[in-house]
Amino acid sequence: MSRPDVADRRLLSVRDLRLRVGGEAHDVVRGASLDAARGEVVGIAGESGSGKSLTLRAIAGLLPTGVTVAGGDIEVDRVDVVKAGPQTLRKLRGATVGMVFQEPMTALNPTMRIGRQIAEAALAHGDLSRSQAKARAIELLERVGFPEPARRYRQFPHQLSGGMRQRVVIAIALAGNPSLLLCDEPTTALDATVTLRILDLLTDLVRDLGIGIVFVTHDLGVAARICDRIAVMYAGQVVEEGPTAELLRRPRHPYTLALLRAVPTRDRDIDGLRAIPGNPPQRGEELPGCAFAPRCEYAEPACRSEIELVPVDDDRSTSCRRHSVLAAMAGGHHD
Amino acid sequence: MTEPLLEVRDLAVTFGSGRGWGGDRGRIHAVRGIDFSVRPGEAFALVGESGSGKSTTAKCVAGLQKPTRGSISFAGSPLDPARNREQRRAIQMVFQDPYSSLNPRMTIGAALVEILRVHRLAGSRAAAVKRAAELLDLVGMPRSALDQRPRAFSGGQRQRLGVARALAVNPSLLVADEPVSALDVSIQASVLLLLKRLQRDLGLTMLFISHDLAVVRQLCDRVAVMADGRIVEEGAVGRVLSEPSADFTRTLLAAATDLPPLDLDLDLDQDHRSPKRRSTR
Repeated sequence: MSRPDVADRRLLSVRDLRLRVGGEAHDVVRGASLDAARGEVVGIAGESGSGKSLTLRAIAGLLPTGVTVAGGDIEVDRVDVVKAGPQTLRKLRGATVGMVFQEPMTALNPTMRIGRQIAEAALAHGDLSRSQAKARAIELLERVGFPEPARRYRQFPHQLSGGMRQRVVIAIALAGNPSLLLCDEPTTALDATVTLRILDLLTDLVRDLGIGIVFVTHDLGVAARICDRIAVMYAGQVVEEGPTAELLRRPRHPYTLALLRAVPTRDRDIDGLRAIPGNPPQRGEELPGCAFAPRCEYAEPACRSEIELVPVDDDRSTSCRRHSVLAAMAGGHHD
Repeated sequence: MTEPLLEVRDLAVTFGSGRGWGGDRGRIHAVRGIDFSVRPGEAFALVGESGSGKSTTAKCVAGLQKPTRGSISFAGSPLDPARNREQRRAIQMVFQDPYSSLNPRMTIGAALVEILRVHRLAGSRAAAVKRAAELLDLVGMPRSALDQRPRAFSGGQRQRLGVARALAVNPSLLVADEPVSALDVSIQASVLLLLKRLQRDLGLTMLFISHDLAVVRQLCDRVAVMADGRIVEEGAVGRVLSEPSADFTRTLLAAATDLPPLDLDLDLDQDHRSPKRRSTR
């Protein structure tokens, strides 16, 4: 999965990450690997309980109490996040890594003017005077799409719509000039038209500032719109990873295929829709081998033993041992 | 042309008194006088973004919200806010959140039996239990669910149970308010397929509330697009999605995130199934 072409732009490398909750006997994230570079958006797509958000939090060194790293490595801009102490992590967050969460209202302080919240973040991470921090906040408000930024500086979060609040959260995340932005379902609480404008803003930031983004989402349509590459997670495993268009058009893992056939689209009628049989595994269940095997129509007995993410084609990887079956189904319209 | 089952005329809902701080500015016009009708056997969608008034309209139809103005008639007779038992039975609702729409303290069987008894649809307790079991068959749940409480079920299963609860009293109209938007993608499809099957098998009339045009495309015959409390466009689903006439519909369509088409020949997989499956053929 290592891509030599991006070695010099490499920002993030996650290898075989395992996360464990408190006293539970089994890991919730069971060997996740992921790369991200400057200038690209990498998506982590999965359903609830897939471990996508925990993986993202682990990258920022922000695991909830009780969740620990049970194995694997995380390197962000040459900093070993797993071994780093609290001081290194504090410096990493803000200066190297910015975070954007799902609910903008809970990420903001309701009693503080939005400009000051951005200025405080700038002060915390940079060597700025108060007036410089204020100027920086106004500049950031303009950057994230506020017309009349100097006037909007004095507004409170409750005076803003959900989309504008999310822009403020993005401005705060950018205040320390991070090179990597971690976004956890940043548009899930927003309407479709607002979502589109936030995705456009994030795409602009990648292009203009040369940052990298890791984008966690449950919505493959949103991922298709913004991500250059997608890693699909199921039950704590990355089951497939690759360039967005390739992965969505010619999936190499039966779970990705099943998900794609379960999504209602405007060009397909209901008879083309296929539900995935069974239910996702419960947390803490022991899952030898591929976690999707019990629901998979292509599974064979060997799928219940060890699996690993293996490279396929030039630029993709899959954890499915029967990926050649899917490759054989791929149409002749290679582009 | 058949008579409409549901007819909504000049429906308006205003929240807040307009007195006190802010005066008239404190008043929120959620629905600003809309008209639409639903024919028997039809699936009619109200589509819009948050704040468009679609859910408020659904609540008025289901009798959970009092209109400020306008009329709703059902099967030819006007529906008053104070409905009689028969009118309450005839219109049932499926809610968005499957986790908060079932009583956590009651077993599924007890909840279904209670509804049947309240509406006097079962002569005896035994008849009610029998009908409850049939309802579970209808929504594709095992009969063992009768003795279990909601916490034993996943979101998709709870939504099936919510549908069973709504269908228990043989409604003529099912109001479904975003019934799949709280569910994971892999679960959504099974609930959509269930609703489609009920439409086909029972001839169920549906008022379907959604923000998702792709979902509406799967289930509905006609659609009304709402924005800011008004209906901006109405028509057959195929026509509205392919040739929208209102600017707002075009904006909504442009914002819909779509997936590229699959480039896999799914028929080919017959020969590549796992050895176990092939041998059973």
